[in-house]
Amino acid sequence: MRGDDDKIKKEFISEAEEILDALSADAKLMEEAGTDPNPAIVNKVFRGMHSLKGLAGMLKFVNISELAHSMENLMDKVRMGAVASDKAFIDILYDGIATLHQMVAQVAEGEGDAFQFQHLQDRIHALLAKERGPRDDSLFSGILLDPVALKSLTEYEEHRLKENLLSAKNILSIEVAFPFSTFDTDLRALNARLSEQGEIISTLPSIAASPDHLSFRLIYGSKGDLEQIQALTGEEARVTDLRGRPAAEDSRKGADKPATQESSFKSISQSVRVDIAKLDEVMNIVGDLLLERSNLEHFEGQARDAGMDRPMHQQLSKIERNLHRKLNDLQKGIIDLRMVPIGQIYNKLTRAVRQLAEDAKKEVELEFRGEDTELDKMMIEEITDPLLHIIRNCVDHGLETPEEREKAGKPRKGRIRIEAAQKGNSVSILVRDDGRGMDLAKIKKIGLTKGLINDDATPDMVLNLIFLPGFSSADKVSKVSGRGVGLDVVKQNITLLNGTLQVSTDKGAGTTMEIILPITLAIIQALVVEYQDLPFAVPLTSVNEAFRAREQDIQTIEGKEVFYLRDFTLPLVRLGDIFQIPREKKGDWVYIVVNKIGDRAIGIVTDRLLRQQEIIIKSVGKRLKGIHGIAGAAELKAGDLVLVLDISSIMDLALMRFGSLREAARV
Amino acid sequence: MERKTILIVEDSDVMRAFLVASLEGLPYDVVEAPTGFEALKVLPHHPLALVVTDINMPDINGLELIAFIKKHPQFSSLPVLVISTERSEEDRKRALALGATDYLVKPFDMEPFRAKVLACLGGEPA
Repeated sequence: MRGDDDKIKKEFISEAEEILDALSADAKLMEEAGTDPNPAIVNKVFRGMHSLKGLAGMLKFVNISELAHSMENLMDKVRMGAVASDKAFIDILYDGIATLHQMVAQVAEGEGDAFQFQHLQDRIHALLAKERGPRDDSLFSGILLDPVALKSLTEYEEHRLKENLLSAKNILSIEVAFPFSTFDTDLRALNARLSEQGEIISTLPSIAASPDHLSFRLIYGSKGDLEQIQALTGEEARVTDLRGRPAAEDSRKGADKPATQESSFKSISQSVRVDIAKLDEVMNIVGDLLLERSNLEHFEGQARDAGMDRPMHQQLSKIERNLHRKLNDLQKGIIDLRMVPIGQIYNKLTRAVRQLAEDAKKEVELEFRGEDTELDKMMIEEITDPLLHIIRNCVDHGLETPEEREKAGKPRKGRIRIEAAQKGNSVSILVRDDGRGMDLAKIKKIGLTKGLINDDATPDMVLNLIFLPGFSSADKVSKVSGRGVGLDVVKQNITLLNGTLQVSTDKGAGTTMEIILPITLAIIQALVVEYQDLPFAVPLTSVNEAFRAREQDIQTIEGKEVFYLRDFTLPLVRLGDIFQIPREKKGDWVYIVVNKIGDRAIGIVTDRLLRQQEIIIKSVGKRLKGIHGIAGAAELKAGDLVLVLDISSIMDLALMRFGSLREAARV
Repeated sequence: MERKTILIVEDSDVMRAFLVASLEGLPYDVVEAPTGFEALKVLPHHPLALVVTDINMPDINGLELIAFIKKHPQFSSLPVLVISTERSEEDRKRALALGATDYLVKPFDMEPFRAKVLACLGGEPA
């Protein structure tokens, strides 16, 4: 039973978080709508609280259930028009959602849901005490509705009908029939059109004249008149005015579209929830299978060399190729399963920003783009904290106070825009603020005092100082630079994900941080190179080009090796220098792999290029974890391990040594 | 004899799973519908013995579903058990007026739900 309990608890947490994320998004919509929010959204929030209450109640999380219950009561009053959707209410709504979130998080951590929320309860009760009196019912009598239709309105729908009457909307009945096999999509499409012009109050299904059709009678409130709505619904629908005005000509055409296909009745729920650990497990098995496949390929070669019968060998080779293809498909399929839209974390960020803005006494408008951009679920989990950290810096240091902004001729509300977009096998996440920007001169001054840069350092080089451990934690810097502590940690965490972090700033106009991440952690394209007979994998994301060069063409400037590539000086680094591998074999030729991140470039000197290959990165053990320059390990063939280079940190290490050569390294 | 089916209409995944789990061991097949539309789709295709429905749902609400079932000659004799909340007393009354057989107020344990289901089915499992 324990296992079952655990599973149910996990499902609870997952569903509760889903509900709370949706609630956050809807709360934001309500806030933006001011005192006249969209009733559909208000009702959705009510239903969300209701579901959460029921969920928590079933699992005996009494505290969550109790708070959700109070919030549901409050939402009920709001949707019934008894409590206004004003600032006091919106504040409670946000606080309620945040508190519920904390409680669910606490449950997820394995603790109970015990939580102190009495102050919130008090505020809810205070608001409920201000409840307005019920609406006048007399208006409701002039409506031409049959008794069944009236009875099948819920109390809430009845209230919405009254509200529409009160605001002098037209109340229309829309009758429409759809083929049984497609009615849900057809009706949702119609609803979407109608919702733009008014409110669908009720949807009553009934039997259609044609046996394979289903008809619906909608009650609809709108400013639009009968003709306008008839135009919106198309000729198939019969629109009448429920306040007794003359009906439009009955233009309903019979159910003329025969249902050609049998609808499917087998599966109802179209999705399943899967623990990501299970996917990891399956992914590992596929990884093992791929290795088995390369063993098979190897054996196939051996068998051929040992004089295997030709037709038999051909057969074996064909099986091996098919297996390879199918395994690749399988692998892609599993990676696909791990993909979720990044919009999932946007709700969390909205909540966090609201809180941060309140604490910092700033006014912040958060804007999102590219919600549909897909990323590996694990990646999304891992990037949330670094992203939050960056945003916190924006709010705390990047954005000015409303007063400062006004003085600078900017709108009081600071804007933070988060933009996600897919770029090939990577995803770029931009965090842009329109705050004060960073003061490069001051950062440079501190960099010089600390001996980290030379006087001729480029702006880019100065800017990158903020990512150095200990640098940005200097209090003085954080004030002048508009950035707070811990960006080095953020960068490090992003690097662990094989990602990169770039910054650009415009003094007075704002700062932009760009995170670039591979779409999935599980598998990457890599260039396998060899140095002193040891293989290394270079993630292709940063490889710009690779070429063969003569040892004698490598130049030395101030004791540092460079290569004059076309019109710029490429700083070089030998893997041996980074990992202290003695250079026993020396040839006349080397291979230089040019890596570029942002506008920084570096050439990695290797002995040989082996091949380009998809590799599944496995994390390295504790002993290697702290080592700069290694992102992880991968298995090339059974037992054949390769270290995956962390180009970003190699670049940091190497370019730091180059100092003044940096100008030359800019591409 | 063909096994009869109980249709559960409830939009909360966890709640639905709970209802399904509660019915485990009964000699009925259980079909689930997460929305009113899904319920409409499923209705004609199973030898139904009972419909269990929530009231507050997207698409069409439980009352509208009951009104449809009761108006439809093919289903009008089908018992309907309504799951509702303690606040929606008015909605509960309307459900009964529309012809629902009985109701149960959330939250509840598995046993009372099972007992209500059996009662709605006429006391003995078919």
